[in-house]
Amino acid sequence: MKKPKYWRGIEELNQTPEFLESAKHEFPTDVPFEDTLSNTTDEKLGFKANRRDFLKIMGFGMTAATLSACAEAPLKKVIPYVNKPDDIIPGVANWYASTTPEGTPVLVKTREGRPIKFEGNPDSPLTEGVMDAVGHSQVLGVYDIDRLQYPLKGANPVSWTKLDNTVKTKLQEIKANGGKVRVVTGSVLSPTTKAAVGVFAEGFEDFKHISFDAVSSYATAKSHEMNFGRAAIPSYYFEKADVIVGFSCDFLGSWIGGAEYSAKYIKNRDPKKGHMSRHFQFESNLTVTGGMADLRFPIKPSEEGIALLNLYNKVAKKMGGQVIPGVKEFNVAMNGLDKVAAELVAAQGKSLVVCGSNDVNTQQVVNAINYMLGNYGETIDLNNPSYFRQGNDEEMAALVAELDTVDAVFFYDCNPAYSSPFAEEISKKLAKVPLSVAMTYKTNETSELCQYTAASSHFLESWSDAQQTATHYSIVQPTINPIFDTRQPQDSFLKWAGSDQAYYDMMRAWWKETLFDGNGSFDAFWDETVRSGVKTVPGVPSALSSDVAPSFNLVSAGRALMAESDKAGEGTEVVLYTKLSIGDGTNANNPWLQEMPDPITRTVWDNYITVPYSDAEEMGISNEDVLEVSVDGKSIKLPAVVQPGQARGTIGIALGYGRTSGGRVIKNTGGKNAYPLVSLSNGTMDYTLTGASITKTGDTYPLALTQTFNTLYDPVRGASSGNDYDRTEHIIKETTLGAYIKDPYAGNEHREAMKQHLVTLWDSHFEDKETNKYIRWAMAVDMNKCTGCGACVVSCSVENNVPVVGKEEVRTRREMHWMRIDRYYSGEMDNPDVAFQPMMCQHCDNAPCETVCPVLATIHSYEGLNQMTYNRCVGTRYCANNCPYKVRRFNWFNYYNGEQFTDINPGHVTNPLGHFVLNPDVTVRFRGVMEKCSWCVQRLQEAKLRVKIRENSSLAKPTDDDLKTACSQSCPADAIVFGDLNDPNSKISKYYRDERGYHVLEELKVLPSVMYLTRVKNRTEEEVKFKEEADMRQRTYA
Amino acid sequence: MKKTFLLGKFWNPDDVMTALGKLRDQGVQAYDVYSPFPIHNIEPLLDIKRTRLSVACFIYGCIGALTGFTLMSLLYGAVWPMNIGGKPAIPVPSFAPVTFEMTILFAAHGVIITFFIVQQYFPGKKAELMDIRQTDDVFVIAIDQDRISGVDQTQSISNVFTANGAFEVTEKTFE
Amino acid sequence: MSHVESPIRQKWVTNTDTYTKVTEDICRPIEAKPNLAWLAATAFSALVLAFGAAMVGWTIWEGIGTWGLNKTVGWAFDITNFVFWVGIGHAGTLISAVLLLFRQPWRNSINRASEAMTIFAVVCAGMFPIIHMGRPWLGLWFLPFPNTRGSLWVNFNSPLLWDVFAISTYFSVSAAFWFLGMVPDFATIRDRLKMKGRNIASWIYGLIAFGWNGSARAWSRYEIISLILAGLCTPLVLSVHTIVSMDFATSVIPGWHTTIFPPYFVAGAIFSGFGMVQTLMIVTRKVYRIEDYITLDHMESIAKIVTATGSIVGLAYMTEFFIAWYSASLWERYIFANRMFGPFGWSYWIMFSCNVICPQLFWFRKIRRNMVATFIISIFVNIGMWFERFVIIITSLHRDFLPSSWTSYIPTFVEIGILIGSFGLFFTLFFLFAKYLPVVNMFEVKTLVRHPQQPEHLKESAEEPVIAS
Repeated sequence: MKKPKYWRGIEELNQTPEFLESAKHEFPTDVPFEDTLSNTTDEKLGFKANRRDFLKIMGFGMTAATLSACAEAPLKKVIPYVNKPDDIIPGVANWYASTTPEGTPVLVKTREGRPIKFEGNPDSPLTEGVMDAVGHSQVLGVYDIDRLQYPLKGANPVSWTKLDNTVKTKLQEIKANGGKVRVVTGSVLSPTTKAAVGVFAEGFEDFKHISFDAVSSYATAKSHEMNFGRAAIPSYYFEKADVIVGFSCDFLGSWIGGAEYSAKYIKNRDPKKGHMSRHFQFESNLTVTGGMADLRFPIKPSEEGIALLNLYNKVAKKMGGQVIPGVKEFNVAMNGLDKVAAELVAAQGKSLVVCGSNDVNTQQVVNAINYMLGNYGETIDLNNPSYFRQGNDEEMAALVAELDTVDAVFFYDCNPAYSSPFAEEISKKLAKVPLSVAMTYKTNETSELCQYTAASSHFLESWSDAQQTATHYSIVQPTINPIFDTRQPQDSFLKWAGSDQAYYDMMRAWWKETLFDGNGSFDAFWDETVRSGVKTVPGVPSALSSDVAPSFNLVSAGRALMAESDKAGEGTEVVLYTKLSIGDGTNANNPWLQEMPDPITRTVWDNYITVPYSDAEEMGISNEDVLEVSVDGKSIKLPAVVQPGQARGTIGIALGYGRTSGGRVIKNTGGKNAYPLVSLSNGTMDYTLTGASITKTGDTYPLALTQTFNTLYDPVRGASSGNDYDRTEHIIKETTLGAYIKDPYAGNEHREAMKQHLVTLWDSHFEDKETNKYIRWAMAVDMNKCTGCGACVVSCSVENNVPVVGKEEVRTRREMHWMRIDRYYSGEMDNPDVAFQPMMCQHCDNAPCETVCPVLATIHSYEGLNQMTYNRCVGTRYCANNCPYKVRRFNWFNYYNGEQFTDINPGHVTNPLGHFVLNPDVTVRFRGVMEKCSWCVQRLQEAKLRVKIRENSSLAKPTDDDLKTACSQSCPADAIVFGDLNDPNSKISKYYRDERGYHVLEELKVLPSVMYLTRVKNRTEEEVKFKEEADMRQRTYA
Repeated sequence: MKKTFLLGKFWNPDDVMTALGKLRDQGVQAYDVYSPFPIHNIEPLLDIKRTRLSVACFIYGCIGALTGFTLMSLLYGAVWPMNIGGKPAIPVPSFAPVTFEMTILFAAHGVIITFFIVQQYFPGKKAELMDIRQTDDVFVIAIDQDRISGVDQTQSISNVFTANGAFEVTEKTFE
Repeated sequence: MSHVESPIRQKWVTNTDTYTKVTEDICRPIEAKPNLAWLAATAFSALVLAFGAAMVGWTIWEGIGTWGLNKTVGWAFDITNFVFWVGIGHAGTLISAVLLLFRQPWRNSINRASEAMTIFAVVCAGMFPIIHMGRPWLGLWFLPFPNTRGSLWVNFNSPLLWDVFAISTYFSVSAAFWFLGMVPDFATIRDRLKMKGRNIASWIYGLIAFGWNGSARAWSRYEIISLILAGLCTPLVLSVHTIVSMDFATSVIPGWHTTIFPPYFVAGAIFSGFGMVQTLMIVTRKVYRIEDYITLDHMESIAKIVTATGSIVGLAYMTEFFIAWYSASLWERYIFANRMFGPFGWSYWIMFSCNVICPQLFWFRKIRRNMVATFIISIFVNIGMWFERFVIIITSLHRDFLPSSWTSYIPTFVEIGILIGSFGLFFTLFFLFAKYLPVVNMFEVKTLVRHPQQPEHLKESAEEPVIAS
């Protein structure tokens, strides 16, 4: 068959000559490049192409190519420091003073204009530069990818002008017809913010400003109102107290003043003075405070009242005062209450009884005891109260009751729809409120219920101030421009009030008239205040003035507490507590806090039920068993963690988990919300419940623990061989104050003898003159001071870009923390002694890791550092295997770009905002590389350079004041000391000469450069004896 | 150059030995013997001197040891002294294993290479075979024609071969 | 050798009275076409190898995180397999070198195959130090080469680096020794193929036959050099596993930090190696119908060695425990208690029963000469020796000094896949060897043929010998 021939048109079909002609030049070329370039004469163009033409054409071609390339290039904004801001030197950090929302004065480290690290502000006489883990983690907030970027109407973006107009008009209406307006805030520390709210309040007939604390200490304030006529939480001076009695009061952990109280408490715990405070702790959950106590007595919440009543009576008897009638006898082990009473009386005016309970009656008894002992004016200062917690439970309850009748409600810096027992009620009623506005920098459960969300700036983007106590003020200073279209709530209040004053000006004005002492110019004063960040005003004398007539109605209180104590025994009692890390849940979206192990349970990313050791044995409960706790109608299902030291018959559940809104980290977090269990009893939030029932659901839930062995002896109690394998003396050394005073080497006696056996064939690299002219870094950890609070852990992670690896990886035991705090129990498991041991790279002089690395990726510096060369490391993991302290961490994956870490690792490349928090001085480690504590070598180098420039000498060496590692800097208790061992006057040299000094696993002769100081407990002989017997009693089983 | 051999082929190594002995009595020196496996104690009959490979091997070993140890000592002692786990700059005990392995490495490979060189064996070399089966089960005594005085000596040699169990006596010429 | 021998001397080659029969029997598989069974077996092991390769690929792509390791247990399957395979290798060298020095004629018929086993085992072993690295693409950095990075040479203090030297020396020297041993056999094959007119194949074997023609001079040098190499390989093989054991012995970890390790590991290595030799030989001699060269007597002597070395290993275990107790060191005592009764106790008991109890069965002649029983026992020995390394590595690591860091360990399918894959690699290589190379050393076996007869094709030729005039 013939192939069909297709034609494109009539012309082609009948092959006209025109067509044929045009077909020849189907692609006509008018630019005769070929001819021109080939240097031949061309009649058509009529010129002879020569070098010039060639160059022209080449030039054109080049330019064309270049231009076209430019057109394609992506436009990136790169701002070179050509005209450099004179206060920014690339590579050199700037420090600005500010204050965290918790009210901790901080120094903010900024690099090239972005904040990357917090350190406590040493100028503050209140905190003296200490800060807890939460404070250290706050810097991430400004780079939280989930924070609000613009105001919202419902869930949709809205412009500020629109928002302002609607709010203003609605407020005008309300003003007109005298409606109710309510402003609900957390504890507002800032006086000027209060003033701003005041401005906002003007003109409303029915206006209330309600303070609400998720975890409330209202009872303390209320009881003081009842007893002393002043509704305030006093300041406590732990450093002045010789006898401290804590009743379920975690004052070294998550109580009111956190880190600040730790610092003060530790001041009176130094055995070198030959005198230490005595610390008794009565509590249900095992807390870090209980761990530090000299004697700890586990009691149920229901026994708290009766215990206090008995204590009161015993004290009263001794002091010849009135006893409370109708109090049943109650006592704890070794007649603890008599002992405590005796010591309290012996230390009148130098003792302190603190109670974390939020029950007014309980607090009254506490106040009565303290008053009777004359502690007011000495260790307790009511005249200069602390403002950390201003929550008023009654007003809050009242608000919730009337919420549906309110015309406008504003939530600022609080989240009652999640963190209060009223959550359900609020969500129901809030819908009826005509105008509801949430002011928050991140969506939360409350803002999701509100009509409008006024996206507020992060505190690092805002001006404000704070008043922590009556005498202590500090400044909140912005360190970066608002990244998004946000506005700080104070400005919003002013705007909506119709005032055109900027909050900053108002604040200056307020400071000028309130705190400015008048001499010198205000600008100078202001600049100085902003620079130092803190301002202290002289307080009134702390002694109670004579006209205060305290009135205690102890009889009724006693009756109420006795009634409460009768509940004991019916069912299990539940204690709701807050973790050091997550707290009330505000910071739940912060991965650093989520991955910070709980100091006691060593669990991350979850909350759980802490079950007493013996009860668990009886009920056959083990870790990860899911339990259902049902109590007055409500129930919650959570996995169990068997907790030695948990008072028998009680369980503990942490608040702050199970959030439903607030970011991607929260989505990756386990745990359940325990706030619904909180109840309101006679006007205050009650965080303890009685009569709960526990049932095993049979299924299990995986928990991620960073430490699964809790004792230093054989976990199976030597069942294998009848041998305990007690490692204590090699790892943790302890003694008592009495023994220490007799012999400073107490508990550490064998060290000298043992050192005689540590012979070597080789000369030390550090004992010859040659090397002594260098620095020799060393560290010391005072086991007597470490409260296990974990501030160092978070601080280290922030400083060194330690990746967050998430629950799954931690569960496979691959947490990356360079610095960890080992927690060991000893003694009877129902009430164990707790020891905290910070453990970081020991920088051994005979480092086993260095010897075995095949590629010399880790060798020793002549300053005594065990250096890790990341880009030389090939990842054989031999060094980690050979490390007796197991402080080396391996990059199992690419944490900075593996997709399983997208949501949780702030430094992840896919997170456009989060990785700005990375410290530019520290490498982000690649997959397959070993890493470990470097003693913040970047800080050491920086300090060395700084000193050399300052002294203008290449031989200048930094002294103690010139540098600190992240951990030693951030330790609230000053337990970690770092410095130059070759400098005889340095603090570290003194520590090395201390009789208490020892090295962990010293007999291995790896010569660690970290000295640990024996822990000294303030215990008497018979107390020690009693604890030992108790231990023996319990060890006999299993 | 042209070379002709008088070959006696046997099937049994013992016959080879006896035949060689007889030939020596007649003052005839065999050129070489080819066998599928080594015949022990044949060396004296062919005036083969003991090889000095073992001496070479010893020298190679020494070189290896020296190389290893000097390399390490120079690197750690001179080029860039380091503090590795608190050990001295030149930790001699640590160097023992590597030094030892270097010794063996040099000695073994050195001696093998030397063997092939002196033997002039190399990959793909064309084998000079008197009989295609000499690597299987045939034992060949080769005698250089040039060293045979005349026909009658040839006769007597071949007689010795046949008398001692040679199943074939023949000549082979290599171009 | 065919010089006068007493008839009561043990016969190591049976029903063979001509030298050419040896050649026939050994060359048969090489000259024959590959049969179906061989193809199937090779294909299967290649498949397993591919699976292992995929697992390795996944590891390198994703990271070591795909394994079950953690911050405390940094080594597990990887190094276990490494030590296991290196150990397997040692039997080959022992047979070819040490038994040669001891003039053990029976080695002649098994040394070729077991040397091959050595080479392939070392290949498998060598793989693991590379893939166990976090960044295997930087494996080059293990080698001491001049570089621009100042001090960044290798660390001559590190046992891992000693391994690099030991393993590479061991591999290259054994390979060379192995090849040298095959040269005369290559020549034989070359000439046979020539006779059969298969010129290409003959040319190929001719290439690697190096022009061998069996001249007496060559033979005399050849025997000397074999002795020299045997003399070199003997200390070498001992040094290799000594150094491997130093990976553990020089560390500070209780359960690793043990001076008994070098002899203990060497004994263990030979033990496991001979176990593998048994496994392979029992199969090979059946499949290739070479029972006449690898006789029951051979298998019996191997069994004797297995029992001997097995007992040495057993003794080492007991010594370890005694010393742990005698040292009165808390850590040592705990580690060994934990080994037996801790969470990994089961693996310890597998190890103990397989390595110490099983081989004792070889005290009975019946079992020694019963190939089925021997085969099963040899498998158990292999399993046991793998677990020995597993026990040493895991139980020592997972609970060392600070209880705070104690962990457990669960392997992932990736690790298990890589282990299986290494077996795939080993058998693939061995099957290829068995097809294309002489599995038995022909010329050495010929020396064992006693009272040879004159074969038909070598009868007196009819015509008078040609005499040149």
